[in-house]
Amino acid sequence: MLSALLDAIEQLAPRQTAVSRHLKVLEEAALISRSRSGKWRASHLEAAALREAADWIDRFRRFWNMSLDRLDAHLAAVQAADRLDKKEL
Amino acid sequence: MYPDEPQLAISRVVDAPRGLAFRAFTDPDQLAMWWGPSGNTLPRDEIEFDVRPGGFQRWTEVVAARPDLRVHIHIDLTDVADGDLLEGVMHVTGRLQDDIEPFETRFRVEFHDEPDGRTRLEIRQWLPAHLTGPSTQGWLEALDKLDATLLHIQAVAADAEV
Repeated sequence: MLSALLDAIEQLAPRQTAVSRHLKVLEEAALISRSRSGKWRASHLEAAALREAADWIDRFRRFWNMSLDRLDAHLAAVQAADRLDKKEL
Repeated sequence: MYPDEPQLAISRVVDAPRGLAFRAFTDPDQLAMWWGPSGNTLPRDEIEFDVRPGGFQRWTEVVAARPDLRVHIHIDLTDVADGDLLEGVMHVTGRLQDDIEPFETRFRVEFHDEPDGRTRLEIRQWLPAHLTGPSTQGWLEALDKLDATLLHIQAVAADAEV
């Protein structure tokens, strides 16, 4: 299975250019920033914005889950009241 | 303004028919009974709904334990199909918890029939624009691709084991 995966990667990007090509894609997506110093080129992860977004998503997921728990209880109460009304009629 | 893919997806089945579930979102008296965590209250005289495409939903949220907070919600409804769909942009302003700045977020709630008279809610929400810089969007897309790749690898590995 591993060799099949390596074959697939090989086909997509020949080994010599694969790393620089991947870095270019990551740089274009603003996931890394790159700087040059002499013959070395440094890449930095740019993950701070992701943290803020992940916190926001977590907060809303909790908000929805707490609301939907209350919605369950509300819908049960509304239907119980309806059944009671029908019985009394 | 918003990327196509929502960043938050919640699927939930409630034990009520579709029409009733829809009314829980669109009838002011009903929404006030369940919206937000417990302790959250919606003063009735500050709820105003005009539920139709191009209409709105407005309310204020107050928390008894935190009288300093007062959250104003104003939803511009972009799409409404009775019993089926609510979609809009929610503007959140006022004094928010944790020093959160006012923001706006696109959302969509679909109501689907389930067996035994139950309803499946499909809730989708989009990150506010200020959190969707190229870096965030790039990461979220990369993580989605990673998920897909890992699932594919697991499937290939499961096949190889047979």
